[in-house]
Amino acid sequence: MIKIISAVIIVAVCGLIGALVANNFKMRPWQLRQLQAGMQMLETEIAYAATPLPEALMKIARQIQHPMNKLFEISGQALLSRDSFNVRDSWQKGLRELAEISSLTEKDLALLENLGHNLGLSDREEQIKHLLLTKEQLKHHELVAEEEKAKGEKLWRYCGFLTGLFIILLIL
Amino acid sequence: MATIYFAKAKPEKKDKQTRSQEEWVVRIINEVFPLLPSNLRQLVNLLPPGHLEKLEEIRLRKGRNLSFKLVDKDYSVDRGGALINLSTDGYVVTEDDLNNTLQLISNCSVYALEEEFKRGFITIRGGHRIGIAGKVILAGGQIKTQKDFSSINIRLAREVTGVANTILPYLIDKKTGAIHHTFIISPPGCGKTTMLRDLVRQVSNGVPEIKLLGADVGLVDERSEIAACYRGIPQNDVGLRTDVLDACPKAEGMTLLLRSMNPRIIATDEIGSPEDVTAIREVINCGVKLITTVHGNQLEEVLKRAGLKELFASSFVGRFVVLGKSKGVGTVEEIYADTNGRYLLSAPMGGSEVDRYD
Repeated sequence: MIKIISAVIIVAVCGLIGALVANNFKMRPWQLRQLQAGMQMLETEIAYAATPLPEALMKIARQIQHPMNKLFEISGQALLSRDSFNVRDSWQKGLRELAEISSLTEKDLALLENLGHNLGLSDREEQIKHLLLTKEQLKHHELVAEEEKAKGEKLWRYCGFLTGLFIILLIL
Repeated sequence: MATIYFAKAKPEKKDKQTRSQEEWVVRIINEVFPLLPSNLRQLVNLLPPGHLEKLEEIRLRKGRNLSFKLVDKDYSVDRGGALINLSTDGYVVTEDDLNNTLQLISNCSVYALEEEFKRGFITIRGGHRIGIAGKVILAGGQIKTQKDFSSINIRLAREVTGVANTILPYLIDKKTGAIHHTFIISPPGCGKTTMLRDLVRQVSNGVPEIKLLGADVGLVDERSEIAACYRGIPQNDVGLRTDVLDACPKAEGMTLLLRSMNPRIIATDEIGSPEDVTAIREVINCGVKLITTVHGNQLEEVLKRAGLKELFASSFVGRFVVLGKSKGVGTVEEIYADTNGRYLLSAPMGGSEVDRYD
């Protein structure tokens, strides 16, 4: 009896781990698209309305979906409350949260971190350049992520179960 | 802040003066200090109030000492917050200090202040002015914007009202009761903008004691120094009947105001170019009175200047107020009644600003 229960648990756990990893593969392209939409909105706010950055970030946070809105919400709030007085630190704060709750890889986060060094610090034209560049790079990451998704998602979903079964076979 | 500094203050006036000095220190702390990053704010917070009271400028230059101008001497500050001479080693301004200050000034949105960077200065709440210098980006031979900022200069705007009290009676036309065309002639740093601002305020409000009725004034504030508008609101008191055309080139501004606001008096700063003179002619032909400042030391010198020479060719009647420093900043050296040099003062009148530095 115990054997059967532990076997079920092992398969379930392995299956779950596989599903989680697979889910990461599935969500990453969508999240990267969300970020691109966010960059597009930021570009519009800066280029056409010259909205001050804290307000612009909060505005975007209301328009895009969870969990990507957290980046804009947290950094915007940090700027509004003036508790960290520079953009870089506020943006970093948002990124740390994003690292916890999103499927983004370290490379994605490093790319966003770069933007944080420049955001708000130069004239309109320069800002647009930075945002365009980030958007392009995100697009590139998205393409790669799509490829990885095609390969990885199914693989990990089955792999989890199969590994579980394999472990049981070894133990038995 | 209605503060009048008299040459010989009576005891009760002294109280008023100390109170206004305290108010001024509070204003510096509320309006200027929040623009400094926290590490610099800590340093300036250590300055004793007696020094704060005299603070005129804070300068941040990348890689050089943080410097303060108190009245007319430059100081730096060591890490303990004690004032030291600028030449000795003090706190050195870092690139981060400059960037953080810029972020605080612009609310993290440098792009929203593009026009201001192009002009090189930003006027903030309270009328204080922040000058910036960096690398200029040109487009088609014109300044497009600046980047890589290397210097920030925070100039505190201390409004001094009442400096025009002494000269105002000389400027009134006895026949009409209106004011004469007035030219304030002064070398730099003798208080001509302060004088102009106070003059504008008084002719706009009117002064019942000398039977001067208030009149509509159109003020062309090309360098945003006179009214110091922040989001369209003059931060300095320029009077009840004054319309401000902010950041507008003088010549265009004067003709624009003639059409748009129907003023009785037009005021502007630092005239001199041929376009200015053409615009002034138009103003005068419309029967509108002019109050302005001219850079110079003497009336004769100003009369010889190209452009102005033609304007004053046919014995021009107006008032020429010459400012100097012989009895302190803001001394009225002479008031001339026409271009022939007929003078109205027998001796220089002590600058009302003199006491300010005691």
